[in-house]
Amino acid sequence: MNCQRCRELFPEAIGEELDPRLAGEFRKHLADCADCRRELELLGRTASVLKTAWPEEAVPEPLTFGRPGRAAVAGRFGFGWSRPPRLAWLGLAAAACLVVCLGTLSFLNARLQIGQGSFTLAFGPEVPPPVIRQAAPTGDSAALVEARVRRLLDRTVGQLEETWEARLQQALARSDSQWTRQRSVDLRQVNADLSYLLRLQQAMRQETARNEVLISSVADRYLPRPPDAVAR
Amino acid sequence: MELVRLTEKDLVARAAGGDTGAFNLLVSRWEKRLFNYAFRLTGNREDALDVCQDTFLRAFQQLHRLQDPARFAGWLFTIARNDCLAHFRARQRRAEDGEGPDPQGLDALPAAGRPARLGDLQELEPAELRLLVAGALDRLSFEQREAVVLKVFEGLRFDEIAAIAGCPLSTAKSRLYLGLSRLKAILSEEPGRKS
Repeated sequence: MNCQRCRELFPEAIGEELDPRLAGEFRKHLADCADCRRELELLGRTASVLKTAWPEEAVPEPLTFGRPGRAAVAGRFGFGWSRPPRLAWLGLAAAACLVVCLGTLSFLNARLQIGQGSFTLAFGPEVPPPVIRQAAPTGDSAALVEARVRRLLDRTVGQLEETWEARLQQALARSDSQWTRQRSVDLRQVNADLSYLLRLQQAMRQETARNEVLISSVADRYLPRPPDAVAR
Repeated sequence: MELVRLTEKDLVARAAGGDTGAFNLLVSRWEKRLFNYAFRLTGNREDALDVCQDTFLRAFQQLHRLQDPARFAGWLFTIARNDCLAHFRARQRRAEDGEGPDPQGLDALPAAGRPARLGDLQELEPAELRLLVAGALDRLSFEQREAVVLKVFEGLRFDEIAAIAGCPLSTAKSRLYLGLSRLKAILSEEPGRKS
């Protein structure tokens, strides 16, 4: 084995993956060649210095799903982390069921009639209501009809006003409950964000403290001391 | 059956079916190793945390595409690797735009009076040695740095490194050799002189 071939095997030797069939020849060359021996020793020492200098660190904050922190904040901005993708299939299945139901109803000529406080579902072709012919009003009877129509109109307007008032009240109640619900969601989110920021602040304080110690140790070692301090 | 007793393969299969408990267990098993891998590759804690978070998010979303659950670890490292590469390139662009580290600042201090020989590095304070090593790693190409991190720190086999880096086996070996040779030269160079 020559020096070039020997050095080609250095990565395997450092990584402890040297082919056993080549190991004998490799070791023999190292025993004979001081240059290769020295080079391999320096590379091995470099790797060992790296491992000593930069030991493994703990993760500053847990990254598991469902805990308040970075993942929760990220989920808020649309990474899809907070919702398992399987739910999308449930939504699709529900939409398909709805389409099938509507199709069936349409095929059966179904009609939904909504009355006051009740609704009816009818099937088959629509039958027009029978036309009742009335005799033309004359004299006093005309005034009576006008009065009845006026009362009918007043009652209808009154009912419409009541209906609209009720609808308005319902809409107000609904938006109030939505607002309350949203506020509680927002408050929870603000709380989670705040606790994340507090943890971040704490981590930064620790980092700053570490940096200060490092800077002072480096400064002690490399910066010249004032003459009066040296004299003392 | 309790999740903690399941093998990694079973956990991956469950997580691929949308079981967040199983995925959480996978995260807690791999988060430390992945964070340290990203930290040593990017050289920055915040970047490493971002990389880990993005990696786990992407893994959760794309786990159903993983054909062989036994390849989960390598697959996770590959996702993280691509993210780290993006951070590395962004940092390079910033450095080219003049936003890099101050050459007269703290970065230059350890080189100013440190021992010249590799064997004397043990005399340095741990924090100082760490700065020196981080600075030396910064001077490698991304591919060399990656090979060094995966082999020296993570202890992966060359075939695993080649799969993560997406390169032939021989290239993974030569990247490690070139990276270590360059680090050896940097750590042994004369004080104040940069190659």
